[in-house]
Amino acid sequence: MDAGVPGAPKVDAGKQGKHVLGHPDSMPGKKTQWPEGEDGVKLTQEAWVKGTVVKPDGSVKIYDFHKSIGVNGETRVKVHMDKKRNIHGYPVK
Amino acid sequence: MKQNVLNTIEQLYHHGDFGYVLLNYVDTNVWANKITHEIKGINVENLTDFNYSKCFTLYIMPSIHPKIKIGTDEFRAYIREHTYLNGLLVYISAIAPFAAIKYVRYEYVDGEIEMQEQYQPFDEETEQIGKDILKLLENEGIEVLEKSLLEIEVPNISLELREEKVTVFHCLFEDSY
Repeated sequence: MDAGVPGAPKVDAGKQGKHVLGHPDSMPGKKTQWPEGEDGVKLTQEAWVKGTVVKPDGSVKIYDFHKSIGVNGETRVKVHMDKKRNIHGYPVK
Repeated sequence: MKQNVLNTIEQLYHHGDFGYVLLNYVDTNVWANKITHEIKGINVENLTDFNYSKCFTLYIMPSIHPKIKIGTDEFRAYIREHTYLNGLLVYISAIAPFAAIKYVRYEYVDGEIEMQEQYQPFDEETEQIGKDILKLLENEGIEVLEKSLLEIEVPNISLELREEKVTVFHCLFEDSY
């Protein structure tokens, strides 16, 4: 998945899907979900490009959008990069 | 429905999948509040996220620095201006009485913010904070595990993100690629 954010890796559909309501891989109750109707791909890619690393190998980043982007008022997005260098992300406080 | 229930039981009892309980029934602020109350002269940022972790995650820095959140443009600007920032990442397992302390340095290098991590303090201030946290955790009956133990590979375990070469740290604290 790619929302066309310059410099951002592609988003893994299955892993992102765990956090997307209505997606076949969605895991509501076990994973933080994006708001209904949102797949979070663009915000995930933006967060990766602009974010701060929170793991020394650079595989996890967090970015604060300074506005509510989650269903519980979360303003930050946490993004993981897998071994194939694809990413997936979800809202965090 | 029957298969869904059986799959859920399989995940819970055979794979120790604590995600539902952690995400829905654990107060993520328990340790942030306790440490903030007990130890003076620090700023505590609660990075706890139970989506893939089994622990409370706290980023702690001396209060001589402003209380700025990781991931904000202000955080990046502060490091750019001051060149580096030392702190600690404290991981307290939510599924067992163990913790881990890593010392971290954010540094502005060649136009980028880089992060270093080690088990020894970068300076005296964070060393003292580490000692205070160690004492607090020991008083609470929580054992802080050393690097040599955290890096032991656990046989026959595969996690959601980390499928191979899974260590004690991955199992008790943070699952990661």
